[in-house]
Amino acid sequence: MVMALGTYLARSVPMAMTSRRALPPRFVDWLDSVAPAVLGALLAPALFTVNGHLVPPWQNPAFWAAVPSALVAVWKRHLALTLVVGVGTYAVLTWLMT
Amino acid sequence: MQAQTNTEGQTQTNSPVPAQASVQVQAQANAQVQAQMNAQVQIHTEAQVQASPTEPSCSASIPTRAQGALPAPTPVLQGLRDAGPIVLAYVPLGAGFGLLARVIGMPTWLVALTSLLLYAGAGQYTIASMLAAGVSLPIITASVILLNLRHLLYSASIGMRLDRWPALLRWLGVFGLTDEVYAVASMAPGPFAPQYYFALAIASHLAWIGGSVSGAWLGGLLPSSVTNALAYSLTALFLALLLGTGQPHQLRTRLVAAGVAGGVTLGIQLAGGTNVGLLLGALAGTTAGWWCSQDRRRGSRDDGPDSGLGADGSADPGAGPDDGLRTG
Repeated sequence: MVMALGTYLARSVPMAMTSRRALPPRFVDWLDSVAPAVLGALLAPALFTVNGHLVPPWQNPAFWAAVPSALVAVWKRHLALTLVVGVGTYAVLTWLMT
Repeated sequence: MQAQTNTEGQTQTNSPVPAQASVQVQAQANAQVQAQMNAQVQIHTEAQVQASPTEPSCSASIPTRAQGALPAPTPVLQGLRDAGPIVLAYVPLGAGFGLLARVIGMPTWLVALTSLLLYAGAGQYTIASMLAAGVSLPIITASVILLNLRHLLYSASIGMRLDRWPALLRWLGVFGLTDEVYAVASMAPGPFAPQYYFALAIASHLAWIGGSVSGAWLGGLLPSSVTNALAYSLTALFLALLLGTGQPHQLRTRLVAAGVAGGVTLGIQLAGGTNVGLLLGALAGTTAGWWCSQDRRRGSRDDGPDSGLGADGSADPGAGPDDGLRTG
C-alpha cells in the first residue's frame, strides 16, 4: 500500500506542478531531453548486463540483436519492423549462443 | 500490429487531436477511466474491450463500428496500436512476475492486487526477489519507492502536455505512467487526446495484470526461451523510440542524452546503487542532452518547429509535423 502510494505520488505530483503553469523556457528545453535520456538509461543495462552483472558485449545476444534493430530503426523509422528484427535476431542468437 | 501506412506511404503522425478534444471525448475517456478503476473488461462502449492481454494485435480486433464512424484512425485506435509492442512485452514480463511470486508463496489475489495498484514492473520484481531473500518489509518498501522515483521525471515531462485535460483525467492518467507508456506517449506528436493516452495506458495495464495473473495461475506454460525472446521486444521498442523518432537533425542531441544517461546508470548500478541508478542516470543524460541542444541553438537559431513551447503553451518534445514513427 505504502509502495503503491509512493509510486503514485512520484507519477502524479510533478505532473500537477508542470501542467497548467507557465514554465521557464530553459526548463521546458531541459524536459525535452528527458525521453532520450530515459531510453538510454533503460537500454544500457539491457544491452550490457545480464542479471545485474556486466557481460562483454560480444558474448551477449541482447547486444548483438540491438545492432540490426538500431540500423532498422534509423533507416526505416518503422516500429513494427524494428521489433520483428530485434526479437527475431535475439531469438536466433540466444539459440545459437547457448 | 496492422499496416497503417497511409496512401503515400508517408511517415505516420499519430493523428493528434488537439484542442477539440472536448465534451464527447471526455465522456468516452470517463468510461475508460472507470474501466481502469474497476479493472473490468466489461466495457461495451469502447474499443479497449478488445485490448485483452491475449490479443496483442490491436487494430485487427477493433469493432467495425469504430472504423465506420471515422475515416482516419481515431485516437483510441491509435492508442491501441501504439500499445501493441508494450502489450506484447507486458504479458510475458507480467507472467514472469506472477510465476516468481507464486514460487515464493504470494497468493494469486495478492499478485493481482500488486499488479493493479503498484503497477511497476521493476518494482514488483524487486519485491518478489527481496521477499524471497527474506528482506524485511520496511526495507523493501523503501527500495521500491526509491526505484520508482524515476517516475518523477516522466510525470514532470508529460505534465505539460496534459494542459487541456480536466484535472480528474490528469490525476487518473498518470497512474499508468510506466517506463514504457511514458516512452511511447512522449513520442506522440503534440498534446494528445485523453482517448489516445487512456487507450494506450489501459491496454498496457490490462496486459500487465492479465500477464501476471496468468503467470501465477498457469505457471510456466510457455517455454522460457519463448517468453525470454518476447521480452526482448522492450529493448527493441526502446531502440526504435530512441533512434527512429524525433527530427533527424536532433539525433546527435538524443544520442548524447542517451549515451550519458546509459553510462551513468550502468556505472551506478554496477557500483551497487541499483535503486537510484536509473534516476540519476536519466538526470545526468537529460542535462547533457539539454546542454548539447543549447550549444546547437547558440550556433544557429534554426532548430525547427519543435523547440520550446507549442502554440497552445504546451511543450511538444520532438514533435515536428512528420517525425512520428510508423507503427504499421
